[in-house]
Amino acid sequence: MTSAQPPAPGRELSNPPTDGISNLRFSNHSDHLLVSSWDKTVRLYDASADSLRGEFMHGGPVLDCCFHDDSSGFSASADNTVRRIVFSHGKEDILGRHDAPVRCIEYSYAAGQVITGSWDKTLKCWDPRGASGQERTLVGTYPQPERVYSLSLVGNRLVVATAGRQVNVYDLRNMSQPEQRRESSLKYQTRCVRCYPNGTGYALSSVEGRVAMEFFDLSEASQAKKYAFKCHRKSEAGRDIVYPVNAIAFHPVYGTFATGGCDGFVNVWDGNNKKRLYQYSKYPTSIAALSFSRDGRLLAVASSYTFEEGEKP
Amino acid sequence: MHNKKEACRNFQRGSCQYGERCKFLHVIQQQPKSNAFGFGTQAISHQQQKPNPFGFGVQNNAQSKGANDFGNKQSQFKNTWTRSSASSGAPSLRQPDNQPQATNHRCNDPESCKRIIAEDFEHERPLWKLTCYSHWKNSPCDIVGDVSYEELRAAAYDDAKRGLSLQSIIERERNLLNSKLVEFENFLRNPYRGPAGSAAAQQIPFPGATTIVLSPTTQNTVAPQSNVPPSVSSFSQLGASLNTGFSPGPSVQSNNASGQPTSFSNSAQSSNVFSANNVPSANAST
Repeated sequence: MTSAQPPAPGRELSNPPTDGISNLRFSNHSDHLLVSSWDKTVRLYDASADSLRGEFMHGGPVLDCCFHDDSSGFSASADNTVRRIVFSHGKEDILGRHDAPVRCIEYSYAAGQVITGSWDKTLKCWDPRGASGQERTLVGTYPQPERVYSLSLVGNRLVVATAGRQVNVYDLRNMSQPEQRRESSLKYQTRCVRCYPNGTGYALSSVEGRVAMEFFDLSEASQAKKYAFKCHRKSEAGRDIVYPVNAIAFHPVYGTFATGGCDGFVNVWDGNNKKRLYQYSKYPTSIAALSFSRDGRLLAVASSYTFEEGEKP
Repeated sequence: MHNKKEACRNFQRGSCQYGERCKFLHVIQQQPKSNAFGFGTQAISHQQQKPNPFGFGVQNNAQSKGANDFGNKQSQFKNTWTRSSASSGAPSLRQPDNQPQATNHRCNDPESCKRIIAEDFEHERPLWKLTCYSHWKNSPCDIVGDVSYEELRAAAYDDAKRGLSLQSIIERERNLLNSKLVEFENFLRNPYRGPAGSAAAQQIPFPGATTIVLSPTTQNTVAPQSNVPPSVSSFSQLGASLNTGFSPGPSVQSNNASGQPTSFSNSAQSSNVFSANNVPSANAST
């Protein structure tokens, strides 16, 4: 994991997880970094101080994590559980369960709810304030057309990307049905979806080395602005090697964004002017996740094998 | 204002240095894209005073607006790598029926659809093979049965916990990959499908995908086709001719997993699922 100040080289954090990293997040309140991993742990780091502040074991590989505030967070695990972790006490309890591994988790400050997406084709919303136990915390279950691969929140909007290239857009205030149902404008499997910080749309990346920039507003004028671009490809012997784009992260202040792919590169783009601003030098292996800190000063980059070539001993 | 008759090509590309002094006409043929990220829009008139410092300027082709990717946008990024394959046929095919939303693509012209598919498979096969595919953006998937790498990994970890050997895990993954490659091959051969109605039929077979992940599929020849009948049969109008397009079993089998060798990264690790264990002879199934 590194920080992104161009003059200084990236700084790698000590005590990394022992297996692949599934996701990492900066806190909204400080430079704490929460990292979830296939080694069944969630780790809390202080990124500026480069120290490991906590390590929380789970029953199975942890596929996603997010902060609630600086004292607690949530995690989504392949053992089908959704957990809340209280950092200072080192305690965690199970908020609820899905019927299949929980792939994504987000906390919505607007709604005060935890939202999880799972391979059991549902989206669930949980209220973390109640006591634990599924009966008390589950607010609703919303079926999806397919297994959930990625989700992203901005304001009152939730974007869910599933297998089979479907995308559902929800308004958190009315979850009974999606506000919009779309097919991805890319041709292959969706990897990641992230909403723009200004809430006008979302970026969607796929395994075919492309990112599509979409808008929520369905008017002609807005839809005319959408576009897609190719990235994370390598030209070799007359044809391209096409790498999946695993991660997208938006800079909270500038609105520029970074993408990370299986080629081990992180690119930073200016979406408005459609230019690439910068490319960091190559990381040792695929980029698994990206996150900007709340002021945009730091960029956390997780580089670990993402299994795009199957099992390797 | 000068007496200008001809449009300034540099200005349209956003890089005219003369501004008002320029001999050519600074017109914009189309409304420029306003700031997507909320920094303050640039009204059209501003464009005429100062060229965009980043050199992007306006798009001079009306159809490239909603058109998406594939060649048009490519030239506007200052990327350090160059793209050799132009997929030149595709954009011109798309523009006639390209609406901003492009949701109403009907496969009226099977030849052009087939061309699109052939181009895609030729130039842009992604590294990750276990993916769904649609030959037209915003359309439902032609090839279904998406598997993400996390799912594959979770299944592999589960298998390992249950005591399955590494070799059998790799075997299982390789089978999965092969059947997917076969699906793509078949699609390439028989992509024609009727109006959108028949597409609906193939949205259904997702259960097939999940069973494939968790249990080893039988190898090639006829078996994979029986695993995925809906997606294959709805293409071929002839129905029964499924097997004719299919390359003979043995050649795919001995090929292990390598499909197009250039799409996979180096086969340095010999027991890597996706590279050939043996000498990479690797041409048969392409």
